[in-house]
Amino acid sequence: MRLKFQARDCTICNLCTIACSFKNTGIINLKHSAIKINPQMPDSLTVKINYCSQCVQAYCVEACPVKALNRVEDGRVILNSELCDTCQGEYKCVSACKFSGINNPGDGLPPVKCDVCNGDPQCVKVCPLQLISIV
Amino acid sequence: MSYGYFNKILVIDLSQKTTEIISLPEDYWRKHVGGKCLGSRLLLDYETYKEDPFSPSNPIILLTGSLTGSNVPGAAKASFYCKSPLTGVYLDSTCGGSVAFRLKASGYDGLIIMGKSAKPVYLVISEKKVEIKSAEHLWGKGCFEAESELRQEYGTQCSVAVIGPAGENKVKYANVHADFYHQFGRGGVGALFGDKNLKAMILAGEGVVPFYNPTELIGKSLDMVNQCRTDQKALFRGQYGTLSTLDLTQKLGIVSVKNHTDGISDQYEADLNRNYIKSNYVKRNLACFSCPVPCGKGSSVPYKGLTYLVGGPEYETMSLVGTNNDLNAEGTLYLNWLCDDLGIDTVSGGVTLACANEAFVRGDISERDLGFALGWGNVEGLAQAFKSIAYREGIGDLLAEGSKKFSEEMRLDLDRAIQVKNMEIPGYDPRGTTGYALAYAVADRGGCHRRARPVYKEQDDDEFRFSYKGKGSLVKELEDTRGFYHSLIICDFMAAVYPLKVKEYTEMLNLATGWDMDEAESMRVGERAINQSRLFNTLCGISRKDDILPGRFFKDPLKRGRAAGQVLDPEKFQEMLSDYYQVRGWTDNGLPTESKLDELGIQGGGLR
Repeated sequence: MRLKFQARDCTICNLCTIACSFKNTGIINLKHSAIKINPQMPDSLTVKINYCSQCVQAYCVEACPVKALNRVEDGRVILNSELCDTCQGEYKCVSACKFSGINNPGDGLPPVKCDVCNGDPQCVKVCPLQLISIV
Repeated sequence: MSYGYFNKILVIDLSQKTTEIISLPEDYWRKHVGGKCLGSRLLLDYETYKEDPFSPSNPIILLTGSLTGSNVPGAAKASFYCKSPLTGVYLDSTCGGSVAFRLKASGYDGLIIMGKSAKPVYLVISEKKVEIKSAEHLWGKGCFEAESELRQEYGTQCSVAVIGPAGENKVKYANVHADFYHQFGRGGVGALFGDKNLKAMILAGEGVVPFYNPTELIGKSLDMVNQCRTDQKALFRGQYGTLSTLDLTQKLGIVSVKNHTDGISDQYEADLNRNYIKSNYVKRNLACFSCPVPCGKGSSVPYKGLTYLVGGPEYETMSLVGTNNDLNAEGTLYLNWLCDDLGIDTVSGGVTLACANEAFVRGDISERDLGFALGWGNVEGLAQAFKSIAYREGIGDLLAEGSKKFSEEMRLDLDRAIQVKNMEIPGYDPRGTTGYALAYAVADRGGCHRRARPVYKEQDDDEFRFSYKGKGSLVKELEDTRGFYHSLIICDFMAAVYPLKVKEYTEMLNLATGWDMDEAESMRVGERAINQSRLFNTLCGISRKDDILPGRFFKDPLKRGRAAGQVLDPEKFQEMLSDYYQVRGWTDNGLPTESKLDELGIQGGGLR
């Protein structure tokens, strides 16, 4: 189970990042969004969206020295925040991800990574153009 | 602890290269809310009405509002407040994108930029630090190139506001360009940036804004996204943005065509219409931060073998650059890009060139006077003209002062300089909407369509549209409502397309701040804002004599369409003005009375 974005039509409204951070923190705090919207302008009218796509070959899982990242049955890679020690601020999973799909929120807090809201993703609900789906 | 605002204003002195954080008296916040009501108050406090706009002690104030930082639909606007170099009176100039969010997320409600830097600089502002950095490598560059270069260094998770050559050369209607496709469009804030040697601002805040009841505020606002998926008005606005406004003005016969020698555009049927532009040029829909209605458009236009990417076109550009100079769609879009890159307001720029264009076509001025040929539909001539304006080369130096100054210096008929208080008017011919005739005349920043939008109430009833009765109270009510929205600061489109009005926004404001305001108190904030900006203008010498439209609208009737034969009646116009002053509680000379100011708790100018 993972998210799929139709980035071509993204309006860069950021409602998905707002909903994600609201779910994670109870307020709008984009550092705690598992999604990052990156407009690639003006060279091309495209948007690059960074989020965890629960890679089959999950480099983050391999990189985690304390096994805080684990694959679960439905295919998601789940972070156990209690085990995570941020690699003493090194965030090896963040560096290992080739798609910038995991975020370092700073302040020594565990990394932020999409867990598809356990099957009820908030971003899917709020995207005005319904460009996000679960696959 | 306060909610919805920090009570922190960052003051940056570019002469001394110092920064300081100031707090306002605590009672300022509920009384003014933020945005316009607070901005007009601060302009009075700083006594900027006494200043020359280009004086180092004329500050530029950038404010957010008490809803900024939330996802309340429409709360993505930030505004500059200053004494305008174009008009010499009150100015607010507003922009969407992510400017407001990134400034507030830096931990500041606003900025006050004072002084002048000796050399070009740009600002970097976040919750971690404030830096004043050298912009010598950016000076002279167009807005797109300058922003691209800054984004190489600062990335995508920030807002970038820049000026182009027009701002650097203090063109009186130079804008401030932000996030590639947004502008603080009107009144010449870009010229003030240029005068202060300020090329750009990076707003890189990633912090949190504390709200009183974030769960309900943010949750409710997210729930509203679903409403917009089924609301026909919101869907239509998202699909076409302001491209569709030309349908309305063409239907009503009030398009700005060839410097208002006509009210119907012949280019409309050909290609300057929403469907043609949408299918041939628009590549994607763009939204401001947190907005569920993507009314912004990203377009691509080929011109002379190159491809240009441009935000829009918005209606005002289609009308005032486009129909006003009788251009086709391709020419309009290319000049839209050019103006955006040079940092020129397409409204004042388009109208000023339409004024020059009419004089050229009439033979009152020639290629020898201008240094280039103009003519209706002449894209190349207009491109040359815009470039000459941005660099103040040749006749561009005079065109950079606006249509009135240009007409005065060239000894042209001043009745054809389409401006109010030196600000060129937008794309609704006031002969076909007496509501707009009044709204333009009394608008605090000069010829502006955003203080009130009476045409909404007039469009389905031609008798009312052409009547002078009831317009005073209509314009007052609309201005007060917008005065409140502009203090939040909320986008003008949301209340138009969404079931969010003063009552609902007041509820949102209470959730954000913990206040217990009601609708009546909100409307008082709006009325206070309008009275403060008028008091500011009064202190600049503005009175009834200045609340007037160009002579053309009183002399030349519209020729075609649903408003054919309409021309403003000077006496009835003056009666309408008196009616407006009366409902405002101002003197018959248009000055706010002591009793009205006392009633609204407005003190005079000067720091408390």
